[in-house]
Amino acid sequence: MLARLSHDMLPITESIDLLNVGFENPRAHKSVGSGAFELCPDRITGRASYAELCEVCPGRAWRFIAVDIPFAEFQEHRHQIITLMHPHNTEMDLSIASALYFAARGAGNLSSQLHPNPINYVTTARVLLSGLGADELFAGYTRHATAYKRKGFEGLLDELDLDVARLGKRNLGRDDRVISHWGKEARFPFLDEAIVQWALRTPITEKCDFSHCTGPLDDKNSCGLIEPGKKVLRCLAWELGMCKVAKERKRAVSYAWPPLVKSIDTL
Amino acid sequence: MCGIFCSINSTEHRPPTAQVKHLLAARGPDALQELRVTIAGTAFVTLCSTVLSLRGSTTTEQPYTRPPHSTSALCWNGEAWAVMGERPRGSDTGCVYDLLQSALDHETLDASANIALASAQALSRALSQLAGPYAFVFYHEPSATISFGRDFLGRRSLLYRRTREGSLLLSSAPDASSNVTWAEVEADGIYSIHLQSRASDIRRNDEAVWGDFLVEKVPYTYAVEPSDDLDSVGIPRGGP
Repeated sequence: MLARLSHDMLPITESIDLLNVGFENPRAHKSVGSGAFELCPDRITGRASYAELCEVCPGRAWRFIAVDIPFAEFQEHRHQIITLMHPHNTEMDLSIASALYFAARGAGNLSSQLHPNPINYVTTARVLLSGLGADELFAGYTRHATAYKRKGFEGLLDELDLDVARLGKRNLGRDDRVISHWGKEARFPFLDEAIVQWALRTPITEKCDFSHCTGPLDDKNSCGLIEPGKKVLRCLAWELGMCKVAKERKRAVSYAWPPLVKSIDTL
Repeated sequence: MCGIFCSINSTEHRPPTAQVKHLLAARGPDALQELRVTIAGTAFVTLCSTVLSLRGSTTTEQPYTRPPHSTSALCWNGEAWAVMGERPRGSDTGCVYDLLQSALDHETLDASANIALASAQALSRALSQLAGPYAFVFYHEPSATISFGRDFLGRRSLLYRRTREGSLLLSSAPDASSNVTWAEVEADGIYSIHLQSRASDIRRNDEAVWGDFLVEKVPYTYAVEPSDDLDSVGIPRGGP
């Protein structure tokens, strides 16, 4: 979404880098080799989004940067990441911080329409855009669906209230430390004051849609196929021509593999 | 992004360690500068800033001061996207400096006032008119106060440490090791210290005492409906 909206705002001559990080799991990758990074679910989604952006926004130099981190490389940087993320110190912290750390470093294999065969590349972008906050504001996590199933709107609202109250304690300081270490700046458009204010004032039924079932309809192009979590954003994606992105299911294991982080060449 | 370091000690200046300096320079490769302030008899303050320049045509050095008129100093790691509804042109550091300085300059304090608390309240009101992420440290020379904080969503890092010798350290990045630990400055309000007071003089023994210094906090509160005097930000709203 942020990439799609950036396209509308930036001069067409600006390139936009899409950074997608994959980590080698030393146990799982043994038999598959270096191609294993491409099997990671978020890598597959990432490439699909990139393809859709190229299709919906032609004329823009989209660059997909596959940041593949072999286990040995992760081990080399592990101590530095742990120092930066201090005082956070859990394995979960390390997992998230590592993803952001390597995304911010921005070194990987570049594919673009100009370079369909991957080449080594380091992004020159100094500003990174992250979609963090969208799930908290618009009920995009699986646990929101669960809360609704168990206790209806009241359960869902309680869960969302907690999320918003927790935003200030949400470890963004940790994220800032690992990203800024590379002389980059992360920006969180969904955490802009005006967006947060709008989201808090907007009735729940205009942000997500748990009261309606999604299921296959006769018209496979119908937006009835859009799942209820953060539906307002999905509908927006649909209106902006990103129909596949709009229908993409939320993954349960979103922290095992990191979310997409986008960057802009110059701002 | 920019890097901030501040140390407040009652007997001598404490510069950043080599590791902290290195980490700050990684955050802000475009400039590095140190500033020392001595409050006679009570406090030695060292401010160190590094800058990553993203807005404006030149790098605005920090700690930001405005000699000869003002020796107050600002370390600003943030983006003021709007101040009272207006986008600052070029670098925002000067604009934020003016905002904070005038908020404290206009604060009239009598001898019995809790200067730190009044400062935190004034800055809290001023920053509620600013939309954007930030972590900052502001030394206000006329009132001899140091104030600091993060935006209500905590989008920028700021950590603190109290050393055994009673120093208070603030930093964007930690030189953590097995015997050095830091904690996050909570993104829950504006903190202020009156440098001419000592915690021991005031006889408070609560969580406001950080080393040798008393730290007052004014918490952020939330107002979802924007009021008439807040052009740019409906949330947060600082102060009582």
